[in-house]
Amino acid sequence: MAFPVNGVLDNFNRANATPMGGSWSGKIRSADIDASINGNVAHANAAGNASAVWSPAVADDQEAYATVVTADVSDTLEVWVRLTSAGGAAPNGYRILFTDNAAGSDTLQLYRVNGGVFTQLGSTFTGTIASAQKIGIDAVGTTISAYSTTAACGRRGSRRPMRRGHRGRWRSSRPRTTASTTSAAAHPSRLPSRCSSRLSTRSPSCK
Amino acid sequence: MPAQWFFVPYVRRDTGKTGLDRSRYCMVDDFTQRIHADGGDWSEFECGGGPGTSFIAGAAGVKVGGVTQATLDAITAAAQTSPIPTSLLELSTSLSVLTTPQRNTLQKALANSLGYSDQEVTDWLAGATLASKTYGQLLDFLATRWYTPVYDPAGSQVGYQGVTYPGVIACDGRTVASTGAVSQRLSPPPSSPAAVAARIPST
Repeated sequence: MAFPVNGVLDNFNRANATPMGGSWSGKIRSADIDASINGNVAHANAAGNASAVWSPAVADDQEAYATVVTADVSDTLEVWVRLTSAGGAAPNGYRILFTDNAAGSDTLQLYRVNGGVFTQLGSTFTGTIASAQKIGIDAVGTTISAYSTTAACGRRGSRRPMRRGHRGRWRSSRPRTTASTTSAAAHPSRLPSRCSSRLSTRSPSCK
Repeated sequence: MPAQWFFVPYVRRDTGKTGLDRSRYCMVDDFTQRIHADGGDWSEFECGGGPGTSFIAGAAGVKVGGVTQATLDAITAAAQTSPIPTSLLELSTSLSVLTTPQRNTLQKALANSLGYSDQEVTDWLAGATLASKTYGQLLDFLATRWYTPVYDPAGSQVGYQGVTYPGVIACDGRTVASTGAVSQRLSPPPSSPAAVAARIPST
């Protein structure tokens, strides 16, 4: 399976801003802070989890991804699809969670989220996620898949599907992991309906 | 390489940097690196839990394949794990291959512990016996009930391994007094046993 299928929606190459502006608005949860653009990447400019939601919403079949620019240990980055009830305390959707750990121990996990409670789907994949790698999630019908663009994070080679799911957006925590760009869009059968991103003080920067 | 089915609990894990994430995961994930090191893999489906069960955070049916016997033994030894006889690997296998005590265990220790009453089992069998069903049919039955998880911040619940959580994720149909969140019974589950089985090597 090809990943990503859709082009990049936002490369964040514009003036520094908080919130990020453009088609990004709102937050995933009420406790989040606004995600920022800083140095042409997206990340959290202050302590906390920063997030943003792409709008307008589109079809139920969605793809969302981000490129990790830099990451420090304990940084996290999330990309969500099929996000509903955003901005409150109990969102719903599906997310891929990247956690930067010690060398070779980065993890990717796929979650279903019901009312703000996260259920991991399948196993944790452990490996290395390096700068410029893309991580993402797609939801097509009743199948939710999570991917990364290199072999580093999985045992099965590049583009490792983690499988399963339902909807999307994105988020990260900690300044210094830079992940940026969420793709989405314009592919008739795989339109991201809502991509959101969340960055925090420990968030990887994204492109 | 050996393979085996298990029924295991979901376990709470706090993943959020700010404590906002209330997550649960299938206990077999604790063995993922070991399973992958063996060259194997695993997959799960949610099932059971609910009022009166010991699976506060929910339960999962899991197939682990392509691993060493030592890894299967380690999973078997984990708390609250119910190993399924290794004669049941394929969904098409008849439960008649089991001994009567083994079938009784499936019904009493497994179905009942997942929240299915004797009457529900009887209704499902509709006059037939467990020996006339396939393993896949049993999994379909066990997967007919699951609950959406809710977070109970009161922290009064005793859960997995007797631990009292500072806040618990529950899948037992409760209404959380402080938040009003309700763990609702849902059916059918989000994935089918057949789909799960197809991804894991049986030997």
